[in-house]
Amino acid sequence: MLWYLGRRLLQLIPVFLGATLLLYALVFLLPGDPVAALGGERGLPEAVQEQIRQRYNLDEPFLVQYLLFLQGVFTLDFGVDFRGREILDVIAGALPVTFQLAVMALVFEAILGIGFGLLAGMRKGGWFDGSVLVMSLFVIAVPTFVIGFVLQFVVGVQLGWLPVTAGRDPNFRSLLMPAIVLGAVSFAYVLRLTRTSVAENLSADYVRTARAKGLRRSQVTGRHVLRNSLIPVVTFLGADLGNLMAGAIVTEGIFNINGVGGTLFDAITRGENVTVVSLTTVLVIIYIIANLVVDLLYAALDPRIRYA
Amino acid sequence: MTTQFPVTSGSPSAPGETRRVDEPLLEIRDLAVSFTTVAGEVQAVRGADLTVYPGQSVAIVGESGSGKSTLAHSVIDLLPGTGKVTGGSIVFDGRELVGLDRREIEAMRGRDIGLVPQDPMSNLNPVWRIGTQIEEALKANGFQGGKAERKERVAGLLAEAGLPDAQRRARQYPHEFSGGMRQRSLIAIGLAARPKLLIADEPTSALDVTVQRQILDHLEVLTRELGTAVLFITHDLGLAAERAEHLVVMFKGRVVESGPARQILADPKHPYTQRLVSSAPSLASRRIQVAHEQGEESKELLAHHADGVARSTDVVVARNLTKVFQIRGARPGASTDFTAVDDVSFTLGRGSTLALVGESGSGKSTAANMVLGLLEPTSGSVEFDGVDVASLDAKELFAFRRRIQPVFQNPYGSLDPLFSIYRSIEEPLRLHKVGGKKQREARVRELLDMVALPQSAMRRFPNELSGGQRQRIAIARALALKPEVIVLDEAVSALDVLVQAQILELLGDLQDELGLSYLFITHDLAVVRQIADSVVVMQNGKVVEHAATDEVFDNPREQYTRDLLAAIPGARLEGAELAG
Amino acid sequence: MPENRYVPAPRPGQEHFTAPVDEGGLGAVDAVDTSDAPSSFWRESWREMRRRPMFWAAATIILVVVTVAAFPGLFTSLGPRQCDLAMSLQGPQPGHPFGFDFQGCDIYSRTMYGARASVLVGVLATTMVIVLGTSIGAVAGYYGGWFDTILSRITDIFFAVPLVLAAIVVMSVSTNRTSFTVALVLALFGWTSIARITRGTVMSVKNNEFVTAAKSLGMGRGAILLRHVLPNAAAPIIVYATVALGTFIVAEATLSFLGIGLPPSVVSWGGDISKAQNSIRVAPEILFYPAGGLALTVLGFIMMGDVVRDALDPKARKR
Repeated sequence: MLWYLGRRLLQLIPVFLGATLLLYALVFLLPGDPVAALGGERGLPEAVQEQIRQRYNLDEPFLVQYLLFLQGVFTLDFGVDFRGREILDVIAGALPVTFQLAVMALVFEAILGIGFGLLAGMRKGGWFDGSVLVMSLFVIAVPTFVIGFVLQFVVGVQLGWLPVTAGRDPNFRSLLMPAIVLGAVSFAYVLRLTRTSVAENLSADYVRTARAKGLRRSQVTGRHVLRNSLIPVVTFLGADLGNLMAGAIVTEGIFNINGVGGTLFDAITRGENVTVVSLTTVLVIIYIIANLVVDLLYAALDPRIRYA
Repeated sequence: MTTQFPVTSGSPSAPGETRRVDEPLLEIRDLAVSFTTVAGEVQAVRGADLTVYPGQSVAIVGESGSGKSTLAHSVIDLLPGTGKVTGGSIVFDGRELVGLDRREIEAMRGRDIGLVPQDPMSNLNPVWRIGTQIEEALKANGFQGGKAERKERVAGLLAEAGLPDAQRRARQYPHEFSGGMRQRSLIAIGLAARPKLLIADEPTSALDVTVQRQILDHLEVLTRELGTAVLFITHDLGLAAERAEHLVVMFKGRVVESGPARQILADPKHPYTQRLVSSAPSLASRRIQVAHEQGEESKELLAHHADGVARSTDVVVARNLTKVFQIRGARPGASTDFTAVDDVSFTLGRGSTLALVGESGSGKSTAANMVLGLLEPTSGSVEFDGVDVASLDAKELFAFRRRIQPVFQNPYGSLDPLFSIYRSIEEPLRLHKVGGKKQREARVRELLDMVALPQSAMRRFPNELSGGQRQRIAIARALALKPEVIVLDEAVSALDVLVQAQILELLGDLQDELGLSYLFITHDLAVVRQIADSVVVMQNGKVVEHAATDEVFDNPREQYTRDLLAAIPGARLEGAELAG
Repeated sequence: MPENRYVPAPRPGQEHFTAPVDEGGLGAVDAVDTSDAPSSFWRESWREMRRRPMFWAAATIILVVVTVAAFPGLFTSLGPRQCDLAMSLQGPQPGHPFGFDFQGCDIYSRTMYGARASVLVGVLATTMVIVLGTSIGAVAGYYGGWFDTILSRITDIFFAVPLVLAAIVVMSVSTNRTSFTVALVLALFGWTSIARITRGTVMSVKNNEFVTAAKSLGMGRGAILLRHVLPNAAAPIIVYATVALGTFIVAEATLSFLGIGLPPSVVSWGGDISKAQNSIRVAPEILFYPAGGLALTVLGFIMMGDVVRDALDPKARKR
């Protein structure tokens, strides 16, 4: 198990370096001068531009820039943004809200997705299965931002059940609707995955053995069918945490939440490339860690992997 | 033969509950089972009768699709998918089971009727420890006692099923067990609650022959001691006759013949049973052996044994073949060498058949792949017609491929499912640029004739043909380039008995006609007796014994060969019991 | 060795019984059934698909959307940019079934013209992803060894960057925004799943005995990959690609919605949804049309993916 963990950690290093280099290169090597574009139509005075270039190592060769950036990442010193704020503070301010939002979305999609999926999979081909399946197709087909608008308008504006936007100090109540919107598509995927997995496991040989032992139906379902069906589902959920945090940008925009997405979008529109790269790096790190956790969860759930 | 083991008496049957042994324990009358498919209702079992007395062993024999498993599974209401009992009655211990409510049948499973399923690889849940899975069976069937007692009982059951070091074994997971060990665990589960009837569904067909024999011996002793009745399901008539006192032969969903085992074997009445008796390889091989011992030539000593052909030349000579694989370990740098084939030498005479026999992991297939030129030997050489295959350049190697062709085991994997039969057989001709389009088509037709398939089959696709038919196509493809040697890698192992006999006959005829040499890879010594001229017995990559077939069967020199021979089902049957 | 076992006299119900031979007789062992027409894997799948109402629903949606995308002029006589501020937010009226948006443009004609951008980006991105993902996955899975190690690590790197995040970052610094560049960016970060699927399938297909048989005929590695392995690995790729097309359409709409996808000069559903958002409190129905078009299109492809998956999966077909 330790060897397994060690090997996985080692494999993460090139992935991390490759992914950050890729993002860095895409942002800084693409045509267009971010500094020149800074001061709007008129642009900043030449001297100020030069100053900024020096501060962000923009006049160094590309690889040196990247290495200096990496050094910053490892020393937790991302530098300051164009407005003089510590980028680390900016990130630290935005991350917790997004994290809370993503976790709430994850819990929502896990509970409902697995529940509905189990019921549908147990009675594959029945009316419940059919209607749940059609519903899941619609949830996947309607883009997140449309679901967001509609829910915001109906539940927030017209019915007034939940706050329309989250605003400065988001709490559980004001994040509830955003979390549901954020988790909606994944909920449909979890449901479908659980359903297929349950239906497949139901006809597995070991389930028949369990029944032949004389176990009651609820025991067979819980200890054998559901337990084994959860392996791919938990894997999906783990990886999804990273996706949710990265994908929160749209939801945060709709519900006016000051999370990672909002900050990132701000930085993009201002052309603050250093902030953009720093934030995406943090998201990539979260994404990679989430995938590592998935691997470990997988090993924990499936003893066959543990000793492989 | 009896191995000593502690039969820990579990929840013993209450003293008052002594049923008379002359009343049936299980009585199935006129049972009908059907499945609902897209095409409509399909009857899997019709009008089936079966009776089992307490403590008795009864075997249901039939080929795949005969309904034997369906019949047995309907007893404990474990029919797969849409299966449903549509008529008749199943009376167990005086109680009607058909139409019983779900809870009642759940209460009977495990406690009254146990099941030992077919495939040990898929029948244990991979995520639970072996001990936990046995404990479940105890708890579900009203085991009285605390956790410690339960653990002790689990270890007792495992030990009873023939697993040494049971305490430790109970904490392991299924994937840490070999097939034989898993099957023993399944037996422990099946017998955990001391059922009165044990349904054993091909309990050992997925295992190596020697393991198969050990487990069956063990199961036999165990159930006899416990007084458990056993309902065997098997495709092997020899095995059934050896293990059960009463046989039920099924064909296409019907019981065609039933009666005392020895009587059926000696005097089969129904034409289907007669076919089965004459084709079962275990019985055929036993008959040859018996005839041989009595100094007679059995008519089954098949004509294609290479007596007529002058065995002057050897077409394939394998010299000191060794193949070492590197196995990557869990830790970096912890790779280990695994010697799959270790200093193996043999010769294949032109026009004759050489069998490479061994159990899984013996290296027989690896050796065959080296002969085919698909794997490079680590050391040693393969000479084909006097030329070292390793010395051939690319062009010569391509030409060499025409002279030796393989036929593989799995009739489902050996043909490209997207290729029509015509394309499959034509591919070798096209690749080696043999003839024009017209000539190739003529050749394909000729080849189909050779393997006794209608020419109309060539527009069909593999998924439309049965396993035996696919194997014929694979043979036709192998013959397309007029090779001299055919490597048959378990080529008949996956087939039903009658089809197997048919293909063996076809192979014999083709050998006579075309002067082919066969390298016959198999785990089944019974088949070897019918087809091979000489035998190489392999174990753990090494050659154990290499001699003429009669020699190996008459006086095997090594213990391992003797074990293999003893493991052929039907080895205990006597001459008089074997109808011709 | 043979022990003489006691053979008891038959008990009631266990006498030697022989059934009469069936009317049909035993039949020849293993006869070929030549009664119906030959049917290949693809034909069988097609037959399976045709039976499903969902297939026809999905096919109809896709056909309609693609036709509208190709020839929007057939469905509306108005141009998408013929706007009249005086008509701002006016409701439906003759000739204008969906009414007008904030800028007084005819919503019906904008909805028709919006299809093109979505379908174009979806098809382009999917094509690129299939080419890129299939070749990388196939080479890694088939040749194994160093090829596999390097290609798999590269796949891991691209996989570690979430699709929408990467697309947002790249598109925001890109000065060149056309359907092609949007598709290119989506493909650049979207090929990893298909590569992983292809790699896995190729690895399992290449272990089949028909591949070994082709090897022992002397067929070259490349030829085996193209003739035997890839065709047999196609099914999961097709299924994934169908669903991916829907996903890419959503991604394009998201980018356009955020204002960093297609420029406002291109009529697109994402852009129109973004604009409709501003007047959602006064006229929520404006949002409905572009969103509906988008959802319907994606629904069509996802439903098709479902049907195709069921039809191509022989395991599911048995039932």
